[in-house]
Amino acid sequence: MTLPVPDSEASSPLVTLSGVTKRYGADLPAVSDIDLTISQGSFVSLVGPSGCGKSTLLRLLAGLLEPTEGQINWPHSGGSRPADLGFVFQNATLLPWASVFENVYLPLKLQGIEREVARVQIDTALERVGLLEDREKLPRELSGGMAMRVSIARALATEPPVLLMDEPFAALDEFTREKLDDDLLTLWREMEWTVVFVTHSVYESVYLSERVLVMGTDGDDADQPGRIVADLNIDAPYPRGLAFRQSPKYFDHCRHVSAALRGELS
Amino acid sequence: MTRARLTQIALPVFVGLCVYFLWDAAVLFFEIPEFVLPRPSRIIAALVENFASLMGSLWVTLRITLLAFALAVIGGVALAILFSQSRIIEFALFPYAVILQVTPVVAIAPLVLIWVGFDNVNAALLILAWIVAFFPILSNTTLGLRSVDHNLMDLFTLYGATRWQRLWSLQLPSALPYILGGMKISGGLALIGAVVAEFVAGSGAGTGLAWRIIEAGNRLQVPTMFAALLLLSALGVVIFFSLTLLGHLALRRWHESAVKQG
Repeated sequence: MTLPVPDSEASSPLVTLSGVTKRYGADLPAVSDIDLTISQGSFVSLVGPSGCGKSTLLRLLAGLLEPTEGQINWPHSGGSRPADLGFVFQNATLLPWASVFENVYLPLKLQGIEREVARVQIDTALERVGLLEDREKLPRELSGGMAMRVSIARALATEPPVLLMDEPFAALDEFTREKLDDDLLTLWREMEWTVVFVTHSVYESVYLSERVLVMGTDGDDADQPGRIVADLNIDAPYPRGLAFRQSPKYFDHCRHVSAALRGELS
Repeated sequence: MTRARLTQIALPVFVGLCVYFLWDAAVLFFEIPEFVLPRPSRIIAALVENFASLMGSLWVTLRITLLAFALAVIGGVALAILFSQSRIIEFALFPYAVILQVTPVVAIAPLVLIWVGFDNVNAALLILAWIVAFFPILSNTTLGLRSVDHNLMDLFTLYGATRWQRLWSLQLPSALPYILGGMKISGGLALIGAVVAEFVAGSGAGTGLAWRIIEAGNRLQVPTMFAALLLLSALGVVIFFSLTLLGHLALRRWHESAVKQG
């Protein structure tokens, strides 16, 4: 049972970045001269050390930041970013005074959809992350992992074509994290999404993605602009599970990504 | 009721009883004249004798305090919202709010009285109490509206929230603990403002508790002065606890400050 790994050359591009540079004020750019195409339906990880510009790149994709130079083109929505775009932050980022249900309803509410109309959609999203029973709870009554699931359900609620995740599971314990990784993969395969996943864990990036983009700076100086130093394909079939986590191939990939992080790959 | 809670109530009551009896004993022992320091029992007697008229005065002071407080909450929150929507307006007006706050209200009072006219002393009292009470609300609400989690702000941006949606569904609920904190300070200040203003207004048409203190003082009715003072303190305590309770009820479900641990 081998699922074909989508070839980024052949499948249709979701977004293309050309010559993108982002500069904060008059400082050196945070990211410089990024050329990148992300194809539709792919699972792409951005991995790199702190301060290499991963989050900046993700925020540029989300439209939370405007590039100083260069173009970001979304061909399916007439060039600009799609109106629906799921974003998951490092923290669950929930409204502390609102119930789980109200938190998931938020994106739909902001789009002017009535609560009653949205109910089915919200319940579906909650069911997908296994929290239908907890819809009346407040965020403070949830564990870290559950809060993160609510955050994912909220991103699901509008059924966006692309999900951007900024180190979403970094604050969770190892066990919860692996569980959420597996659930995320299941969701990705069901929803036929594109996922762009920022992480600083080599293992997580290899386990999850079809394609790992390694980011770094020139030399060891973290003040230098970040760029993509390696673009690696992880050619392992889905569904992935414990067998993949323990396979020699998995460790090969991890070694490969680590080497790229250390700058040993040209 | 837990043992700790019982101690928390019993101790202050015990201290109060001690003070009562020591006071009484000291007045008797040193033969202090009543117009300097009356016996506590005389103060209670004065309170009972003048109960109806003192309650009338209490009502006057209470009405001005509550009205000034309500207007301070409305004005402070409204102005803070305006500031949060426009940096230009904030830069233009904030210094004047500070000037209004730092100028001692006693010094402004005579001017306000002249402008409003001695026929409208109550309006003057209201204005003065409002000036004292509104600033904590303004500064706390401004701080609260700015202290919103920046990721939540980004989230609202991502989903294309309007200015109004952002204010109503994110900034105001986030600022609620700050607003309630400001109200707790401002409630006490409204009472102080009302009393100070009445002192300054003096013999105008004052009928509040402050005026009763001046009047009783002029007649050397010291027990009545103490009785009025007692009522003012009680009023302050009631205002403080009401606002504490309000804060607790509004925040108990979600905010760290009010959520029961354990």
